[in-house]
This record gives sequence, structure tokens and C-alpha cells, in this order.
Amino acid sequence: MIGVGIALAAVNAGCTGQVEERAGATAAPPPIGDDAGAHLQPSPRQAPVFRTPSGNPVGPGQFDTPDAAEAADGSDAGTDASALAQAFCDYPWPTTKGGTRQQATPPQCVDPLALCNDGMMDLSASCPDPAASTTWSCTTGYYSAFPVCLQGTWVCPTSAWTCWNGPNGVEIGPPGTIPPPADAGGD
Amino acid sequence: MRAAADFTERGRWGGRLTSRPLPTEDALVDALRPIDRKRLADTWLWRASMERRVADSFQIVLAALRRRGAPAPIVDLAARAIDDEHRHAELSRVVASRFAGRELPAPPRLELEVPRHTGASPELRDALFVVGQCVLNETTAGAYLEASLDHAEAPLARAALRELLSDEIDHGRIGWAFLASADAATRAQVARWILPMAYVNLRNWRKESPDDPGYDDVLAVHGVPHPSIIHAALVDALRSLIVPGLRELHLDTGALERWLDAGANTDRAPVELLDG
Repeated sequence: MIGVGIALAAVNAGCTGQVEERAGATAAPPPIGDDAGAHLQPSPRQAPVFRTPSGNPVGPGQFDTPDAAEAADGSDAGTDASALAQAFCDYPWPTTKGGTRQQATPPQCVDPLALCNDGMMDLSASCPDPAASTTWSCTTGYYSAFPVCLQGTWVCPTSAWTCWNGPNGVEIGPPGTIPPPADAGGD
Repeated sequence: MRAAADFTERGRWGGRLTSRPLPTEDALVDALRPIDRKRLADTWLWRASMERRVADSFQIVLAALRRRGAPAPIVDLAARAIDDEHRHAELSRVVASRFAGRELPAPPRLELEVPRHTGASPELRDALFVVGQCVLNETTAGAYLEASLDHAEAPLARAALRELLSDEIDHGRIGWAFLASADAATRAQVARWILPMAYVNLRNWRKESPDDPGYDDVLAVHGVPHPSIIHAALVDALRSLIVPGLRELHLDTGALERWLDAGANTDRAPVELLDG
């Protein structure tokens, strides 16, 4: 089988696990429910990028074999040699503990006026689940996909977050509502 | 301050973050140099992001178990594991905040890349999802946590590690119980994938704990052991936990054992060790 030879050669040549690192990317929620992971197909987002020792990317298509295509249709090719060779280049399940790597903590923000939200945003970070956030930042009236400065700490608006100490003492909300247009000022 | 309430009252501890409250005081944390506090905060915050992503992993595992008609106790445990991992993410963020001396926001959510298992039938792929995440990843995670606990001295870190470990053992059981309930044909098919899955798993762990010339032993006191300790614990888990467990279930572990005997190198795929 030519496909097996290509796969084995590619693995031996440089598939040392250099699946492209995506750490730090904000994720779209994974599929939820009984279909989760059921029909995984290579896609531009899912396709790993393999790299040879020289650093040249090798597309996943190089590993495609007739056997693999058949298996994707449901045939039992679980013991196919080329499939096993490709498995050395597969994505691992992410480790559960993170080992000793580090996530840079954001700098402590400064809110000298002790306002609910002094308007500062940390544009180098993102809120963990923007889609679930339905409240609005106090001063701009806009939903914030970025952490905002609240009394010296970067925070992300959540469905439970309200501006208990907002401008003029006005609480803006409730969650899910759109604040008055006037709040947007000259924007 | 929490960024989001991702775990619920339906979880293991009825909505509480931990089985027991974390220590409110820790003199060993207070005595740390600022540079070490920063390093520990950064490390625990990274762990928070990893734990959050594993909640997504268990969504995949849960769906696979349901598709395969796994026994209800296993399915229920996988459903609980999702909640567990959300708690772990928050627990790690809380610990990171203690080191930082201020509340830290939840870290950015990481994208989950699901193993493709190209060439496997849908049925086999589901089995590989469960075995890869639970038998391999969670069992090695337990070994990692045990090693971390062995070297940790600070009350906060020890309490956090114990909480994590108690859940991780259950998560490993999901995989072992599923494999024990599988028929002989499925086990035989899974067996052929064990070496490549163990290889990518160990390679990923090593990537997450790279050699660090600037490592300071004080980190181990707070739950961050030296990478060499982590690496040894992981290989030992493969040899002393996973191989015997698989053999007990009559899976052929020859290729895996040959790779371990050869040093468990993850710099090059051991294709030549594959059977047949």
C-alpha cells in the first residue's frame, strides 16, 4: 500500500508531535450533546499542521490513504498500519494539570477614582466566554469582550455582574438588557 | 470574584468548590519572595485554563459513552466529571489569586483539539476517546498529582492537590470500567492504538513541563515539582499502573512495554515497535 509507506515515511521523517500549538486561542464552545465528537472530519480549523525537522509544514492530506477514507465511512480499519502510523501525529488529549507552564497574570490595573468602571480595558486579554455575558460595561454602555478595570482588578462582565457602584450611583442592568443610548455619550 | 458559575449544585459537593474549605492562612505563602509568588500565580493560572479545557474533553467522552450504550454508572460519572473540571478550573484560579495577592480573572479559554483517530471506525473512535482521556490521561494525571503532593509542604497547595487528586482517581475509573465492560473484539482493536496514544500523551505532558534551568526548589513546596520529578512519575504510571491494568483486561501491551523498556523517548515516533 502506497499510503502506508507514505505515512510511515512521513512519521519517521519528522512527525515528532509538532501539532501546531493553539494555546491562548479563545475557543468556540465545543459541540454539546450526544453528537459531540461523533463525526469529526478534518477541517481548516481542526486540521493539525505537522512540521518536518526543517520546519516545513506538512499538510494532513499527505497522510490520507484509501484505507482511512474507507474507515471514515464506517468500515472497520482500526488495525490498519497506516492509521496506526498516523496516530503518532494525532492530537493528544490536553493534559489536565498544565504541568509547569505558565499563564502570565494580567497586570494590576489602577482605578484612582474608584469608579465602577474607569473605562480601562485590557485589550491584550479576552473574557473567557463573551457569548454568555449579557451585561454591559458601566461607562460605555457596550458589552465588553475584554476585561475591564473594576476597583483595581480586571474583571469580565458576567450574567451576575452589575454595576453596584456605577456613575451617579445608578445600577445598570438587569442582565440582558440594553442600556439607554444616552449612556454611550458621544460615540 | 468569580468570572462565571460554571459548576453547579448538581456537582460532587453540591455546588461547593471543594469538599473542605481551603486554608485561609498559609505562612509559607506569606514568606515567599515576590518573584516566586508571581511564578506560582502564573503556573496555577495556566493550570486553571487547562482544567477548563478538560471540561470540554469530558463533553466528548460523555457523548461517546452514551453512543456506545455504556452502563449508567459510568455515564453518570462522566457527567459529573464535567462539573469536576469546572471546579478544578476555579480552584486553580483561586489558588493562583492567593499567590498573586489579588483576585485574578479567569484565564482565556483554550481551544480543544479532539484526537481524530483517523482510520478508526466510529465505534472504535468512541472507545479510543474514552481510553485516551480516562485510562491514559487521567491515570497519568493522578500520578502527577501524587508526585506533586509528595513534595508539597504548604497547606494551601496540599489542600488543593488533595481535592484535585480525589476527583482524578474517579475520572480514571471511567476509562477502566468502560474497558472492562467492552467486548473482547473492541479491546483487541483498542490494544493496537495504545502505543501511539501513550506516546502522544506523554509527549504532551513533557511539553507542558519543559526543562527549566531557572527552577527553584521552593516551587515544589507549593505544588509545582521539578520537571524531572513529573517526567519520572508519568513514566512510572505507564509502567506500574497502566500496563498492569491493561494486561489484567487481556489487552496486548507488548509494543507499549518495548517502548518503555527503550526509554519512552518522545522525540521520535516509535513506529517500528508497532505490532504486525
